[in-house]
Amino acid sequence: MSRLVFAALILFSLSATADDVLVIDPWVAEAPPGARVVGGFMTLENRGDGDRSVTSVSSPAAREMQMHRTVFSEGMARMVPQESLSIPAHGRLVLEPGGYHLMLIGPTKPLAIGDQVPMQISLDDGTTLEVSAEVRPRPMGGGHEHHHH
Amino acid sequence: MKSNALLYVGAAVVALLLGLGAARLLNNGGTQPAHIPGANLYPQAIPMPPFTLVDEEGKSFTNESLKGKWSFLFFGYTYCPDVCPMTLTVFREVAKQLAATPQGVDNTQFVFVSVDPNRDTPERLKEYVRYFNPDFKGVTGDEKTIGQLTSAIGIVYMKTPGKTDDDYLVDHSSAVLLVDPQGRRYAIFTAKPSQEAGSVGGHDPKVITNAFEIIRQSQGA
Repeated sequence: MSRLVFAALILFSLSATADDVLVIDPWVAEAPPGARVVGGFMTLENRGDGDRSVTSVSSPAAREMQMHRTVFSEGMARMVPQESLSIPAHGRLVLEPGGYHLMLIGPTKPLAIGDQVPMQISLDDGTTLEVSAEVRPRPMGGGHEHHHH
Repeated sequence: MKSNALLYVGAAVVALLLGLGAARLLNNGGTQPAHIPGANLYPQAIPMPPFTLVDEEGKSFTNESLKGKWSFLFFGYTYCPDVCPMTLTVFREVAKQLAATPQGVDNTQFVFVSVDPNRDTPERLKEYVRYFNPDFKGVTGDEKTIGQLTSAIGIVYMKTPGKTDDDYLVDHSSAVLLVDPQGRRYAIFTAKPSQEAGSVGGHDPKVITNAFEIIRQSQGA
């Protein structure tokens, strides 16, 4: 019984629902002191029949938010700004270090582990997801620890 | 532990094989071990060009600073949103893994070289690299010096403008450069390229640690 309630609470806290798109496990990477840009990560799951896309992101905790993709190619590491992020119908979009991610530019205050960072994620269907992302240390290692979903 | 013992046996076998390979190469006038997964060895170790940079303490960092230990160099900038924290996290993990090896981590150093000298002051680099590991070095210099050094060793970088003059990003080489205790470029570790879906790129600490262990043992240092 209490376990059920607990599970329900976890589910509730992890997924901000706006129709069909769920936000799973949002987090913000703990940044070195004085960082002016901070990475935000999460999985967006689209349980609906139509493709969705993220059209903009914002947060009161930063001057500005942008969507980017880190691309390693031909010996270079590049940041590629994204106009939108696609979440295919019945599919997922994973935002993670070394891949697609959100950038909080100009944090309004230093972010410490455990802090909750509010974000608004706007979708192309006009809905906005309210997300609270926890500040966590970056996981060890490079992109090779990625798990396929 | 059993897995450690196995690792040592494995490492010993590899070292033996490498010794044989190295002996053969030496007969041909070469000095490098055979192919090592994850590392691109220079056919001959190449001295770093002369340079004078400044470290996170404001002290000069020169070719001499690279001597007497193995150095891992990564080129980036502290305003770097994703790649540099990722790679320094990889460095932190490599340092941790090396600390657990018989030869330890003491004869190595990890150096973050700024390709954004206008914004990366020694003070800023100090805060930045020490967050990842208090032993890490952060070096910078004037724009001309950084430009000359990087172009001489095949490291490239370019600014991409941001919305304001102070908001620019810097695309940069993703390679990790290994410099030997004589201050010579010895090997390059390349980042795994990104793929379209479901696979991110970057460096793998295990690959770097394993390759470096083979290199270090082959050189007896």
